[in-house]
Amino acid sequence: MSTDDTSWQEMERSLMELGRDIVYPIAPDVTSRVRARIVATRPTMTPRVSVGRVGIYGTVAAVIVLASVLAISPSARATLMPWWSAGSMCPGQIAGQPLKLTEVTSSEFCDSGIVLTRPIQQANVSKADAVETVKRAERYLQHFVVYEVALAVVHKQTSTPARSWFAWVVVTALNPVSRHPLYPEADIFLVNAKSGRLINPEPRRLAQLNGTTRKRRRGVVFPLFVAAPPSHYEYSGIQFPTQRDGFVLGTRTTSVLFVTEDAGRSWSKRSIPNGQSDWFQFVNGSVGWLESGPPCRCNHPPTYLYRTTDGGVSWRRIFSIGKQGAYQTEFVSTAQGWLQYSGNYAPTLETADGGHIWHRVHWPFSSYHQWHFTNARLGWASVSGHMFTTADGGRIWVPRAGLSGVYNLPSFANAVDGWTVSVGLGVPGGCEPDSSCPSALLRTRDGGRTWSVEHSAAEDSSAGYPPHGRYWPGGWSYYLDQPQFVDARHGWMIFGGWNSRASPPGGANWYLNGGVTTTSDGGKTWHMHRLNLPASAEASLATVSGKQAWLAVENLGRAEKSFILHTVDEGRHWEPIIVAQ
Amino acid sequence: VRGADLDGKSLVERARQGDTDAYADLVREHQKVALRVAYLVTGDSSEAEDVIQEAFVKAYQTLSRFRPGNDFRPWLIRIVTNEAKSRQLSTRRRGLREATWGRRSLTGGAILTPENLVLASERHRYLLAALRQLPSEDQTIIAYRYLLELDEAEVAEVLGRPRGTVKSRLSRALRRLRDSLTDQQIEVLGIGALE
Repeated sequence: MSTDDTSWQEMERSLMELGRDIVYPIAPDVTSRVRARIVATRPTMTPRVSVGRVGIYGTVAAVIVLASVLAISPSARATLMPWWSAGSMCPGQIAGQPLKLTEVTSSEFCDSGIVLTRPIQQANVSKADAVETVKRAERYLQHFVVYEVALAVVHKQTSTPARSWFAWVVVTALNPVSRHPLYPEADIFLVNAKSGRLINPEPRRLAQLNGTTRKRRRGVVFPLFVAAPPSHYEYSGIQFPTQRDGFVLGTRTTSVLFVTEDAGRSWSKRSIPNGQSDWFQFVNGSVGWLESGPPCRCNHPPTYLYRTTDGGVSWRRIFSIGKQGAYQTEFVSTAQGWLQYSGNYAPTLETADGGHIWHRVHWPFSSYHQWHFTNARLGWASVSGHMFTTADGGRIWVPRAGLSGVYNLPSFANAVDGWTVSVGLGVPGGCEPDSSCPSALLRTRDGGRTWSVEHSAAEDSSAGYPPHGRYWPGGWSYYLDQPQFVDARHGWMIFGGWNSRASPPGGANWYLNGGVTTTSDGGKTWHMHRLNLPASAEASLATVSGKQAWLAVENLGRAEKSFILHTVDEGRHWEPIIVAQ
Repeated sequence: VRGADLDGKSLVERARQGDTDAYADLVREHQKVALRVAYLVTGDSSEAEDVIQEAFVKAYQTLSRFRPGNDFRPWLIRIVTNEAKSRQLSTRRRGLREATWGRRSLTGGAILTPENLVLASERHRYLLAALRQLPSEDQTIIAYRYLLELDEAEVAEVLGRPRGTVKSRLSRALRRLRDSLTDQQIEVLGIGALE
């Protein structure tokens, strides 16, 4: 498959050529102008917080004004003008004047599609509190694919004044894209600033919009939307090798491991050697591996493989991976594992003693392709729309007929029952989706020898999951990821998607409100649970049983958007879990 | 390049001690890449020029927070990107106020605004179009790595992520891009057929 490696290199080369092909503007030398400006200043330790900084949060801040315009001092009001005061946006609004929340009820939609709930109580907040709230709101709201934010400060006079009663309303504006059948009509929710829980002062009305609700303490938790308190860690992986033992890798500047031994009731933090890690694996509650390098990212630091036999309390360095770094590593038992270096023609290694001694094996594909072993003998690799399997631990790989066009590695619940998803079955490289090219869920009952279509989904069907693949009409691309079956009936998948054609200004994409879909009948029917997962998020799913699962969501370079969710009822309700205080 | 880095580090050290000549040298050395980054984000040459001026001033003011021993270039690129993005945001907000009030992604969006880019030849038009179809995070990482030709360690530094993550994100982005090209387009680009 060396042609394949070559084509990747050519792909990279073409991209570099594209970069050189871009006609960049020729700008005059800015050195003298920069020098003139810095001569007047001196390096400062901290950035100045000024009125301009408030402006960053202008959109959100503006709505605070709506709720609390009278409470904020006149000088603050000047900097926090509502952004829609410039033009008439909603019924009953007079151009140039702020909209009063009382003028819009939940049954009315503004021209722009804003949905507002009932009149918000008059708030009594200081400017400092308002700014603080806005900052916190931004942190919280970054968990969501939220397209627009309206904020109201709900304030009650209690013995503990002010902040604990802040809550905010989040709405998405309606537009043609959001009326996509797979996209909810409107998102409205209130979030308690302190707990991160969703609170709704008018449960019934919102219940009509958003489906069923669940009573909890004073407020109501909405199953469709999940709020998690801001995290200081990025959670890049979650694993539950047993029902009780769970592990989460969190990274700030260095990585730590969060460990539970009581099914998630309590978590403890364990440090890891050498600073920064992006891969770990436990095969049971005590034996695990970790790849780690120094946190200094300058210039290719070497990484090492570590092993623990006490659940991450102590780690022993067992292997030097080198500067190149491993691309994929997997263990199927306390002894048997494989490690593939990154890059074209990169070697692949195998160990039979838990990672101390490795020997090179020759696989017919490079690290651009994904592979996975079901057990010490049975392995799968997805190579550009062709599925390869091995039945002897990777010595011989053979193409698996009938799985052409399948990109996702299959998931096995046991030795015989397996599932995978495909688009354009039988068409290498996929096909242009239309009615004759549905995405399909494939099932095997004989350990992968034969596969049959269990379920298929076209774009407008209510299949319980979005159709997998790209280039659907309207510019939508969907993906189904990490199918996981805990037994022959219960399965979980992550879904998401984006729209590249109808893009907001600035070139970003619209995203499908991603989430998790579940089945309890072996894949015949699916139930979609939207969790507002952005397409940029890397979600890691750990299934414990047919009812219970954990989801760790990380977002490229944005620790504050990383969170962990837990469900005990087949994905209907998700609770944010706090592992780090 | 590494030799220049060593030199760059000593320039940073001198600039940190208040040597404006040293900082001017740094500006001269890095303004080209800074401008490219700013242009990719803003898609406007005068805006990009403003951005880099502002970014260089901000970088100077926060030099005390620069960790000695690290590369200056990725650190600068991060500042430039942030500056350009926040400008984009405020420009967008201004525009929206005047036109229809649309939805704004709080997640920031891509650094790449390819619709504004002008290509010297037609050969890579399809590739650019395909790049546009990708999720914005994929566009961003490809832009840093290939269009701006940063190495993986620099991309990791700019994004503030471990290198392994950058590597896997990059290969995922490449795979998506490859999947989105038709066979004909691949032929035009001279990329070998897969199997």
